[in-house]
Amino acid sequence: MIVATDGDLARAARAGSDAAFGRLVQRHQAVVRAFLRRTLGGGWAEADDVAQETFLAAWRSMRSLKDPEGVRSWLLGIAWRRAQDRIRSVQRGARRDRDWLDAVETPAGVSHTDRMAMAAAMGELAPDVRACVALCLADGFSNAEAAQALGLPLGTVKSHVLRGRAKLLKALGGPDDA
Amino acid sequence: MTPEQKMAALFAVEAPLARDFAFEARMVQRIATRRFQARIAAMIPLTIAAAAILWGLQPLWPTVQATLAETGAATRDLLPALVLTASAGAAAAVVVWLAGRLRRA
Repeated sequence: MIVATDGDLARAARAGSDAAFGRLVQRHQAVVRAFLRRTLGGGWAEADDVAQETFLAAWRSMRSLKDPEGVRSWLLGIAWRRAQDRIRSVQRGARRDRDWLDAVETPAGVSHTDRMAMAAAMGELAPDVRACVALCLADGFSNAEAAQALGLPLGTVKSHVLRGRAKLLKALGGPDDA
Repeated sequence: MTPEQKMAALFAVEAPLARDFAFEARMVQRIATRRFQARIAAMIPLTIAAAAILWGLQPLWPTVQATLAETGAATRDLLPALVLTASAGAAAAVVVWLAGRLRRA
């Protein structure tokens, strides 16, 4: 069975195929939603709403996709811009950022205190640092791919990841220079 | 657990399912709704244009009717309805054809 590449699906979707766009949603929903959950914090329902808005915006602007093979980065770029809008919105207070992961169950081997410490540390990170951490540390993106998706210089992404990682590890009991 | 492992475990909790049929179904539904709205929006100006064309052709209808009436008295009673149906059909065909061209454009 021949598996269509992202590029094939993106080209078909650009030509008007909703089925192809549905396959792109199927392939990339997990990474987009995970990124938004980690970047927005708060309830997962909000992140999923933004994910839906992201895919709708992508569907509307498929024609502006210049590199069909890079559809994942392109989707994450849209998600990032939507997340920034949501973060800036007036309904969103600083307190919600401190409520990080409130609805999330604690994984085995991790204490409730650690979970809350991680939540607080994530909430204290600047949004762009948080986005870099979400992509590079949580989802395993390369710095270059994260830089492309977020529209940030590579050096900035590298320093954001290092700084974010150090803060999170310190919050979880690591050394100050982790 | 090391701090690194704890961080990885906490990140992993937030990862959605690789396949989430509910999310995909909601997306399909929203896209179908948007496509329907876009099609209706695209049809509105074309429908108005078709109505305007029909209105503009109004003065010609008596002539068309008279011509067709000569073909036989038996069909005379049906002529107004036939002319209107044919005109509406032609206008609808034009609208459908233009809508198809717009979608492909």
